[in-house]
Amino acid sequence: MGDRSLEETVSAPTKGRSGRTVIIAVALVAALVAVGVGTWLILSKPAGDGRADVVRLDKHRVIVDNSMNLYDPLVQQFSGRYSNVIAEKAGQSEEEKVLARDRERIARESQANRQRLDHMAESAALKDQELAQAFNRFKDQYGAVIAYNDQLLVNTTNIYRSVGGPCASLHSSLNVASESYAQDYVKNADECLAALRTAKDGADAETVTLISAVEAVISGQRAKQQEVLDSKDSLERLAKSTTAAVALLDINEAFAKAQTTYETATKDKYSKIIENANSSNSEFESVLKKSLEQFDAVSGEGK
Amino acid sequence: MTIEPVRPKRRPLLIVLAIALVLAVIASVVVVTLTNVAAQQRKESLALLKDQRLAALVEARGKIQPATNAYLAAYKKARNLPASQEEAEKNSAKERDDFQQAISSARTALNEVQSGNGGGEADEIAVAVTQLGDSYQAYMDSMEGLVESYPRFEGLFRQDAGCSGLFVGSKASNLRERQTLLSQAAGTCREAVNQLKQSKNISYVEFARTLDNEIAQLETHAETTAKSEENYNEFVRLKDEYQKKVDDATARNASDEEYRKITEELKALNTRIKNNRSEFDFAAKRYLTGVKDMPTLVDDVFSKNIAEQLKHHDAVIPIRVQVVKDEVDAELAE
Repeated sequence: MGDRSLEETVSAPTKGRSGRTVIIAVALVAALVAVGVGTWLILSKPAGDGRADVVRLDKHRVIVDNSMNLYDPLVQQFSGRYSNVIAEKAGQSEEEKVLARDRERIARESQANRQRLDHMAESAALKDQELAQAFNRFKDQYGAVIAYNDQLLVNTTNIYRSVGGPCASLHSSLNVASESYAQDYVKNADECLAALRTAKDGADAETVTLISAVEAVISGQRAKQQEVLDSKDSLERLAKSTTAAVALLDINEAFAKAQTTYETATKDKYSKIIENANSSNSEFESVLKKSLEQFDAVSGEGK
Repeated sequence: MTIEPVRPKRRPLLIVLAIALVLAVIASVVVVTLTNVAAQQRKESLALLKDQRLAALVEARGKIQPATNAYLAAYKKARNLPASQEEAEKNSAKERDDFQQAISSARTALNEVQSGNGGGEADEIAVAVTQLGDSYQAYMDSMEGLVESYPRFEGLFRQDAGCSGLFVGSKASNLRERQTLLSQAAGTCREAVNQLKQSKNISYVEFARTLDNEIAQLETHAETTAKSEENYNEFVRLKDEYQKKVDDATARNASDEEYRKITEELKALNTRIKNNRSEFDFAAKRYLTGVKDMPTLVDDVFSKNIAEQLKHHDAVIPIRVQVVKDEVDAELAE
C-alpha cells in the first residue's frame, strides 16, 4: 500500500506533466500551422501578383492616356467663359468666379493626372528594367502634356486680359473721324500697353513674342497719334493725322501676321508634344504586352 | 528532489506562454479572415459600382436631354397658341415634371455611385469618382438652368419683357422720339435681362451680359444721333443767319475786316457741321448694326452656345465614366 501510494505520488506528477506537455505540444503545432496558413494566405496574394501588377500598370496607362483628352474640352470651356467675362466687362467678381471655377477645374485635373503618374511609379512591376525605362519615358512625355496645358491656362488668361481687354476696343470703338480721335487713341493705347506689359508675366516664349508684336504695333500707332497732338498748327496737324490714319490701315496686316506666327508656333509645339506622348505610349504599351505574354507563357508551362 | 522546486515555477510560465501563443494564433487567423472578408466585400462593391451603378447613371443621363427637348417644345407650343407665360407654364407642366423626374433620377443614380466610393478615401477610384461627380453635377445644373430659365429667355422679345420694343422701326417720326421710345423699352427689357443673368445656365448668363451691353450701346448711339439731328437743325438756322449777314454786309458794302470775321465764323460753323456729321454717321452706323445683329445674338444662344455646351458635356462625361471603369478594373486585376 505504502509503495503504491509512493508510486502514485511519484507517478502522478509525471502523468500530469506529460498531459500538459501534450496540450502545449498540440497548441504549438496548431499555432505553427495557423501561422503557416496565415503567412501563406498573406503571401499567396503578392506571389501570384506579378502579372496583376503589370495588368494594373497597363490599365493606369490607358487611364492617363484617356484623361489627356479632357484638356481640350475643358480648356475650351474656360477660354470661352473667360473671354465673355472680359469682353463684356462683367466685373472683377465674375472674372474671379470663372477663374476659381473653370480654371481651378483644370488645375485639379492636372493634379490628379500627376498623382496618377506618381502612383504608377510606385508599381512593383517596375522592378523590371525594360518596363521601368518605358514607363519613365511615358511619365516624362505625359508630364510634358500636363505642363503644356498648365502653361496654356496662363497664356490664355494673359492674352484675354490684355489683347482681349483694353486693347480690343482700341480699333473698334473709337471714331476715327472724330476730332478727339488722337487724344482718345493715346489714352486708350496707354491702358492697352500697360495691360500688355503685365501680360508677359508667366507667359511662355511664344506668347511673349505675340504680345511683344502687338505691343510694337500699338506703341507705333500711339507715337503717330501723339505727333498729331503735339502739332503746332492746324496744317501740321492735318498732315500728321493723315499719316497716322494711313498707318492705321497697316495694323490689321501686322496683327494677322503676329497671330499667324503665334498659332503656327503653338500648334507645332503642341503637336510635337502630343507626338512624343503618343509614341511613348505605344512603346510602353508594347513592353507591357510583352511582359504579360511572358507571364502567360510561364503559367502555361506550370500547368 | 532538485527538480521539485522548479516545477511549480515553470508550470504557470508554460501555461501563460501556451495561452499567449493560442491567443496570438487566434488573433492572426481572425485578422487574416477579416482582411479577406473585407477585400471580398470591396471587390463585390467595386464590381457592383462598375457593372450596375455606373450603367444606371449613364442610362439616367440619357433621359435628361430628350426630357429637356420635350419640355422646351411643349412650352413653346403652348406659348404660341398664343398664351401668357403663366398659362404656357401650366400647359407644359407635365413635361416639366417629367424633366424634373429625369433630373432627380440622375441625381439619385449619382449618389449611388458616390456612396462608399467618393468618401474621403485618397485612393485613385475615389479621385475618379469625385471628378465624375463634378462633371455630372455641372451637366445637370446647366440642364436644370436651361429648363428653369427658358420661359424668361423665351419671353424676352415678347410682350412680357418688352425687349421687342428695342426695334423702334418706323414708329418714331424723328430721332429724339426714337431715342425716347428706345430708352422706355430698354428700361423694362433690362430688368428681364438682369434676371436672366442669375440663371444656372451659363449660356443664358453670357447672352444676357452681351445683350445688356448691346442695349447700353444702342442707347448711347440713339442719344448721339438724336442730338446730332437737333444740332443739324440748329446749324441750318445758323447758316441761314450767316447768309443774311453776308447779304446784309454786301448791301452795306462792309469793310474787309467785317467780311473776314464773318468768313472765319462760317468756317468754324462748317467745322462743327462736319464733326457733327461724322459723329452722327459713326453712331448711326453702329446703331443700325446693333439692331440688325440682335436677332442673330438671340438665335446663337441655342444654335451655337447651348449646342457647344452640350458638345462639351458629351465629350467629357463618357471619358469620366471610362476612367472610373478602368480604375475599378485596375483594382480588381488578378
